[in-house]
Amino acid sequence: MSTSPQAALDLVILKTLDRGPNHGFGITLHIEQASGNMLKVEEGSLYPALHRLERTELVTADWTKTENGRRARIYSLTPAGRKRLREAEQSWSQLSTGVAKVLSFS
Amino acid sequence: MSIPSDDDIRDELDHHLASREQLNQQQGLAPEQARRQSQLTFGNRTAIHEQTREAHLNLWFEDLRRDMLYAIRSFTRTPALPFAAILVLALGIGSATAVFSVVDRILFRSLPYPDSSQLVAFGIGAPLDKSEFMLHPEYVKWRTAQQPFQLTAATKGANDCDLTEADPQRLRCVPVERTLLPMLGIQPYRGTNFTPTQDTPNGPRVAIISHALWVTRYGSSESIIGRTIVIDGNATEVIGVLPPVFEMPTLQKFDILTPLQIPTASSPNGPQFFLRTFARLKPNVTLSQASQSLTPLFKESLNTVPPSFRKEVSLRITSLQDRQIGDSRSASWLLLAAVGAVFLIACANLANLLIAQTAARERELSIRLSIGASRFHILRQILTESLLLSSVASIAGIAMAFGLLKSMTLLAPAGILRLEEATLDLRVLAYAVAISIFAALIAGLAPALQLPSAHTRTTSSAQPRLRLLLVTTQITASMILLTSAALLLQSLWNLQSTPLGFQTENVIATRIALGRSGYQEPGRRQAFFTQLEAFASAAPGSTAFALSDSIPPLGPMQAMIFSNIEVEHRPKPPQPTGGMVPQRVVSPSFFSILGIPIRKGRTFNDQDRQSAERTVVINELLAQRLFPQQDAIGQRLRFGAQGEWHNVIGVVGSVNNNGLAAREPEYYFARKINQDSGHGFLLIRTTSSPAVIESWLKQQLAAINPTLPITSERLSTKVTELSVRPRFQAILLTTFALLGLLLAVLGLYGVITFLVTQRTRELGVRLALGATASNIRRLILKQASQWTVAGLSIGLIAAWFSTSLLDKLLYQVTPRNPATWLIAASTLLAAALFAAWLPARRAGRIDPAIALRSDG
Repeated sequence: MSTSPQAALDLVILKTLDRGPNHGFGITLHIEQASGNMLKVEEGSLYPALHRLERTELVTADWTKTENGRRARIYSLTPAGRKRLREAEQSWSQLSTGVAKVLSFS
Repeated sequence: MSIPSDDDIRDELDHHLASREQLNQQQGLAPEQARRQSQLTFGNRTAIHEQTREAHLNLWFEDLRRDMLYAIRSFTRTPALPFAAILVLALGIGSATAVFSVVDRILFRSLPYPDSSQLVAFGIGAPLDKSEFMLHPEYVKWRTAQQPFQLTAATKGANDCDLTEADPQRLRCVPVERTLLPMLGIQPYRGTNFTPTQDTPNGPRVAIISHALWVTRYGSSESIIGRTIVIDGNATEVIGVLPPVFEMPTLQKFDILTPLQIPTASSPNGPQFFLRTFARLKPNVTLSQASQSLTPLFKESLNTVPPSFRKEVSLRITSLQDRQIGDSRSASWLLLAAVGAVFLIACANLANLLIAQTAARERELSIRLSIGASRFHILRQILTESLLLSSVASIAGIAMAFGLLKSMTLLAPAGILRLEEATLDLRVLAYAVAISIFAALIAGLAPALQLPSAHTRTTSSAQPRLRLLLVTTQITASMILLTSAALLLQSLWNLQSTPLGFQTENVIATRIALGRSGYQEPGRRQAFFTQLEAFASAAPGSTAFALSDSIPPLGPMQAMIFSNIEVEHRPKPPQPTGGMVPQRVVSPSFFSILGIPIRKGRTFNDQDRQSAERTVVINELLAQRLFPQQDAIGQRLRFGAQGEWHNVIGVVGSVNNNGLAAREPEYYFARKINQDSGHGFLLIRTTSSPAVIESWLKQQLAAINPTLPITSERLSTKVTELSVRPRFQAILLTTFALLGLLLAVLGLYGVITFLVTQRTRELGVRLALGATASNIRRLILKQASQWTVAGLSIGLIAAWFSTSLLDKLLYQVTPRNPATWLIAASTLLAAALFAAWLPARRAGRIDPAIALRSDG
């Protein structure tokens, strides 16, 4: 969770789920809209990330039936996931302030 | 949380693809194209399926792998720190493992018998002998009447016996009861155990031989069973061979077991056999239950003991393991505690190093925390690093332990319990691994306490406190070690500088043990020693010689109960036994050769040996005890109620007996050597070497008895041998104490250096504001000495309570001895101040201009 592309993807997933529970495709659609197609990733790579977050108990998953009778896996944020999101948002802003200071220092 | 099945993952991915396909169709794509497009944007489905599954399975390994790579990368960037950590920890693990491999055999491992915890030694405790024993008539009664044991077995002491076949050989034979092997739970390796008919008085002569004798003498021949061998001139049938690892419960060395053949009905005035008695407890019977159950039998046996004895006689029952450990217990625990202290010092050093490393990476860790790494994650990273360090250190430590054990075995005197068995086997290796994991956890948790939080970038103010606390602990442990070592060294010094009461210079002692073959009758034995005396004066370089049945400082062959020594015309007082008084039989020149001073009267002359009138020489201590107010000379003594009266002709100085430990009352006879045991010592004062004397003697003896084994040694060597064990203990403990001191001082050096580096800017400001270099040095030294003195004081208190462990190992030193403590404390203080002085000097040389520019 420390190296950047993965950490960023995790953060975006958490942020999306902060708006409410959603299934994988729903999260894909939200990221597409919100980032203005900036995240040019394979859509499938979302799933290993989702399952990793589930494994580390930042999100939970439940099955529901959709209108057309398919099974859909709905993810929602856990309290730990919400806390992690808050911390990360705060540090991001701190870090960017820090980076700005460093850049302006020399 | 359940792990999703393959079907679950398939359904989930299907849902995504179907939804995308549906959306594509809604956006106007043809059905076929909508499907193709959805698959294209999704990516490689098989690979994604795999990765999704692995997200659940491999997260742990993945993290570990990443942590390991990260640790290796950061170690190789600054190799000095991990190298130091590994070295320090390897020293700790190495010494702890080597000592454990030895001590484990003594204290913890079960004995090589099945269900060995049921095995006990029992019998009577009396001043006669330090271990419990039984006389055979009592044993025979107990054997049948006892309740708490499944089985009992008795053995006699080992005696010299000769294999008088072609190529004769001196061996050790032990008579044992036939229940011994079944009681121990041991089956013969070949052949059978003794039968009841073989183990009765006047039964057939049979023997069970040791595995070693079978291999070396009989080439592991299967035809050994039923073969007749000749022991001390008697044809004896071999009926069994013992297993390779068999040991006697007494741990005595032996080659041959013979049936004990004790009489079941004893005649009241017949000889009584002195037995060592062992037993196997019934299941679930405890030692105290067994003791209670034996008490009626013991009380009954007390009636056979003279009343004056009864107070000093007790019933004893101990586990076999405790009996074998005996006086090795204190030394074993002491060594274990010493390496434990060294190990703790090493752990504290590792913790300090890891804290330093974490502090150096504080910014990096803050950033990692801020981009979402959890504290748990960082903690795991640090633990991975310390585990990596400790596993490398454990390998190095095990290699070191191997070398240490080798050199310990080489240095050690003979007779250290089970030392030759000690190896680094699986159990010891598991111990090494366990303690290194322990070190990793302890040391890894220390920096974890100091982790910066994501919100507030902490200053390092808390760190010096923890680090200095660790240093204080090290100083404390080191203080205990140094005190113990100093006490042992002083005890050794006392032991070696104690006057012996006799001189050893140019005296060569040769022990002679006749054995039984050919020397059955006392007359034959006496004839041998008479012949020996006849030619001994002609020994090369010899100026004098003497014969005796025993020599100081080894214990005497025989002793008399003090209360059984009667003074003529004095009623025998109804007193307790008063302990044992050793007896020696010596030839007239014994006193002059050993330089034992004559205080009163005279020593023996040749007439004393021939005349019908019996004479005795007593030593000062016995004279004081028997005749405190009177002159001893001319008094008459009787040794035992049936004995003859002996004229006291002289009083001589006392000598150190029984392993240098103490002087005791003693008396000497001038009878001819040696009718009883066939053991004797030839003392020759000569300028020749022991080797010359030995070969000369062999040459002389060739005509009389060519197979008699003899060894000649300087008396001074014999004396030195007695302090070999205390010296070995002192050397080991001093080594560990110095190692501990080195590590503790290195720890202090590291912390002070770190503090100086951290305070560079502050110190620079002080210098700039006019502080002198010596002010700065004093500042640093003051801080270092505060913590050293704190550790030292705690160490003194801890040592005060822990040195009682040493009590039994010390000779003429009290554990709480101010001089020794002062030496230990000042050694430690000097070493610590030196370690602090180096960085302090560097601090004094800080250039303010550079310091102020640094970002401290």
